Amino acid sequence: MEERVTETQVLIIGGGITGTALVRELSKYKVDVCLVEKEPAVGFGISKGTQGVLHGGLSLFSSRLVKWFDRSIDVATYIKTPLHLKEKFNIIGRPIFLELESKLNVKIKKTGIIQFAYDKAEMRAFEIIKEKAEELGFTDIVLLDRNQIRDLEPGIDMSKRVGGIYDPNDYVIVVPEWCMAFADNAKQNGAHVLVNTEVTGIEEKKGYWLVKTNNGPIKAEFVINAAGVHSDEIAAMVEKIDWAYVLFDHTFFVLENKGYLKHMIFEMPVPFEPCLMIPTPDGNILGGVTMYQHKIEEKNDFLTTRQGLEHIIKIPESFIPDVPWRKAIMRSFRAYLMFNTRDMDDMLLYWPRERFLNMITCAPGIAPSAGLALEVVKMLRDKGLDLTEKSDFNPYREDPRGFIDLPTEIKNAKIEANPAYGHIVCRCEKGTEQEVRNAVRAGARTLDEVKFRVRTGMGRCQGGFCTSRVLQIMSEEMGVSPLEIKLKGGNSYILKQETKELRAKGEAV
Amino acid sequence: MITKEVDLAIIGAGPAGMAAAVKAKELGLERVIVLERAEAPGGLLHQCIHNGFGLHYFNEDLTGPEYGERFIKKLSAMNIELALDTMVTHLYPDRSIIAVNSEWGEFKVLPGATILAMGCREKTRFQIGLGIPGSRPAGIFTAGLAQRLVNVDGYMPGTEFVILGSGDVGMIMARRLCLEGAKVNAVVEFMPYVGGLIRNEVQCLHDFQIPLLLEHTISEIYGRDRIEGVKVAKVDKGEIVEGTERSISCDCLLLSVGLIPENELSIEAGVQMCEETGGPMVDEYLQTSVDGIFAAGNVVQVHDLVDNVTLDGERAGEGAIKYIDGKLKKGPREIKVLVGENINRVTPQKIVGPEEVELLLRIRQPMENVELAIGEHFRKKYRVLTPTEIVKAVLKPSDLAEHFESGEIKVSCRSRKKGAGQ
Repeated sequence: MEERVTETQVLIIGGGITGTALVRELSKYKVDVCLVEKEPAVGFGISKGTQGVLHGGLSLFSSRLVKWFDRSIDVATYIKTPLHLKEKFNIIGRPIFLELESKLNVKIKKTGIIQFAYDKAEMRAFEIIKEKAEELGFTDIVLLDRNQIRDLEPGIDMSKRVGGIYDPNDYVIVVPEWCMAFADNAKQNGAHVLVNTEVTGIEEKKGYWLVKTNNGPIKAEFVINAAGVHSDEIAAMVEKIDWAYVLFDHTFFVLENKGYLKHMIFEMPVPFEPCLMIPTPDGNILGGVTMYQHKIEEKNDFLTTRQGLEHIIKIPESFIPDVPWRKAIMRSFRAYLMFNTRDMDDMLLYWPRERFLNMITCAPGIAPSAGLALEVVKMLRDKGLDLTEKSDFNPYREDPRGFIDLPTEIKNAKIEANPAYGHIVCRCEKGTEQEVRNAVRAGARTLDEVKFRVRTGMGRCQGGFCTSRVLQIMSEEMGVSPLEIKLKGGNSYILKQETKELRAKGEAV
Repeated sequence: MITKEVDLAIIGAGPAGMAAAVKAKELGLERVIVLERAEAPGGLLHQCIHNGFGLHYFNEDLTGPEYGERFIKKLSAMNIELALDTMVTHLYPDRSIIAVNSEWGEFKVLPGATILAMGCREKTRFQIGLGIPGSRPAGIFTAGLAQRLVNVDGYMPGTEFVILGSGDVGMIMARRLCLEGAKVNAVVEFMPYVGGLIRNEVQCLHDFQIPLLLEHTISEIYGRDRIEGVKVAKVDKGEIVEGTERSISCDCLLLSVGLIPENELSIEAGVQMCEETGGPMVDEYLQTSVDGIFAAGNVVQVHDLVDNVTLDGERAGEGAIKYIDGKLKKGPREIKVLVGENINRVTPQKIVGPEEVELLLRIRQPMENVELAIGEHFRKKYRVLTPTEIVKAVLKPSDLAEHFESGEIKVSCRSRKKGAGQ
């Protein structure tokens, strides 16, 4: 049933935001391109655990300010050093996301960002950032006093905070949704996207690479390593690498947003813990901390801890003390921010071998992905790959969901044509039966992927009500028993067996 | 867009909604519509295939589906309009409703009165304290979802279980899973007493020799793709006791850790909410703070018995009809019902009329030899009271009369000295 590819011109390893943005960009050209992803869906690696911020002028340089606390270097000097690669690609990539929102039918939320200061030194640092951002064309940034902050976000506790800085042009996305949108659109335009396909070895042959996977080998002219946190393992298959990833704990709560917060808010209290709260495109709040004191040693360690949760609940409580945050918790998760030891400030982009490109990304990596995709097209061309634009490239992806937000007339026309649109299966997020079917038709095979495509299970009941229905619809659409359906990758089957099977086996206690 | 003008719209065809509809129709209301999101009426009664329903209301021992069936039959015999597979998406302060289904598309309902009967939902692993830490694998279900999977869909979500929380659904599922040949390694309860009814503790746990760990909690979930086990720790005064952690293996974790009234629509309509119950503030007619919007059953507060939910539904049905007919009686002034000593919550939260009023309340912790005191006159003695069961107290007009002046009446529960006042 799974699609097989044995030969391609360009092979992209990794279906995170970097790989999927690239596969879509390459699908504009007359070239065979294939992306392999080891998880059952694109966007299911670390992309799923990111904040999803498309950094504007303020947040771009606030990321630099993080280093100011870290290294006690002169802030003015550091802010004014030349742009890093990731910042350059961020500036190119961000408007691309904004432009694609309507074409790919995927959400972006304009949240703006307010950052708080506790003393005059921080306010001065903000002035420097403002100046630097203005040079680059981010001209809407303003410094705020206490009262102006209260006007924007009345709930913020301004008893210790002295003021802040505000950039109205910050945006937030749900990253796996974008990965899926990029991949869907690339597939529409002839690219191959193979999920559940893990690279196990790479051999250099005469004039091509032989990439071995669990689904058989793939011959490729060019290989692009976009494997995210696993890109060190992939790189090590073709070269001896002298760098490694460093991972920092990034724990989050997803909180209900009953009008508590309108803007993204951010601050960096000492000791050195950037705290962020984001009103997400889904209507929730993502609140968390990057714990730079807590390095993660093991890539597959996504375990939340009691100490971690107790620590991060203080973030929303410190920002907006009057909200009963503990009652607003919908979910918690832990991921990490990644940096590489060769350059802790920047990503790496280099050819360790002929026709093998390493895209060693780091945080922040969301907005840069679209800028990087353009750069890689240029680099491939420079290496002699013939890239002629397709005349029939279709930049539009059909809306696979969002039924509930349509105007009444359109809803009713759709229901008349297809009654399954009138059957809402998810009471919290209002996903319909037809949208679940559409998600499966678009390639979703796991409950989690349907969740990211239809939002079933994302809401306050966390799947308590819809899981049974969604499994049933998926099973019909996939033509398999619900017993075959997994939550996510690996062995994550949801159900064990049919009722009565245990008894029939005589295993009754 | 289709617009349906009706006398009464009821959101939810569970036990509360069905009872409200039947009552309203019996009392002569013509156009009653019940909007139900599921494919059949009855709410969760379908999946509650065990017995113990109706002991009070019908004086019979029925299963959930049997109990539901009695009302479903009445709905159809009385020609009450029932819209199934119909999701209400909006409720406005003028009590008008927007809903969606396959037949009418997105449509509007303009009712003379609306009754909220959406029931409640289960807390998830993320909503217990700050959430259970650890991994996020497959194999973690709320007890109610597991009940649906096993009893309705015909699938076992695991073979070896740990159940966190001793709510009624959790204990009933423990027995159910044993009957299906699965192992239940432990029922873990944070409190020093079970969260559900005593009869369920006896009939579902003790009779099946299922280990019950009181004053314990789950401190970590482990297993990457599918759950492989949990760490269990002792709890003392609400805190985990360091050094008492041990592992219990399981391929499935069920959660029966509490229910939350479903009030997103109520909030959208501007209904004033009650901190203690998690439901709307209601008066004795079950009218909310919004004119013409009533509420009944688990949407108001989580009940112990379906029989009580039915009574609640009937009361809301009656209240709605009185409202429509302009016959809601008003006393000289509203009386606020205050939560006093040892009381967890009380409904109604306010009394508006001069008639007899039944209060439903829960106490904070198990108590022996106590006296319930409501206002100046009402006193009642109990040998044992537990927080898991709802206590009913009927206040006569004479109990209320002088409180109209102060505008308050306080409910409290005090322990009595041994032998005193018998």
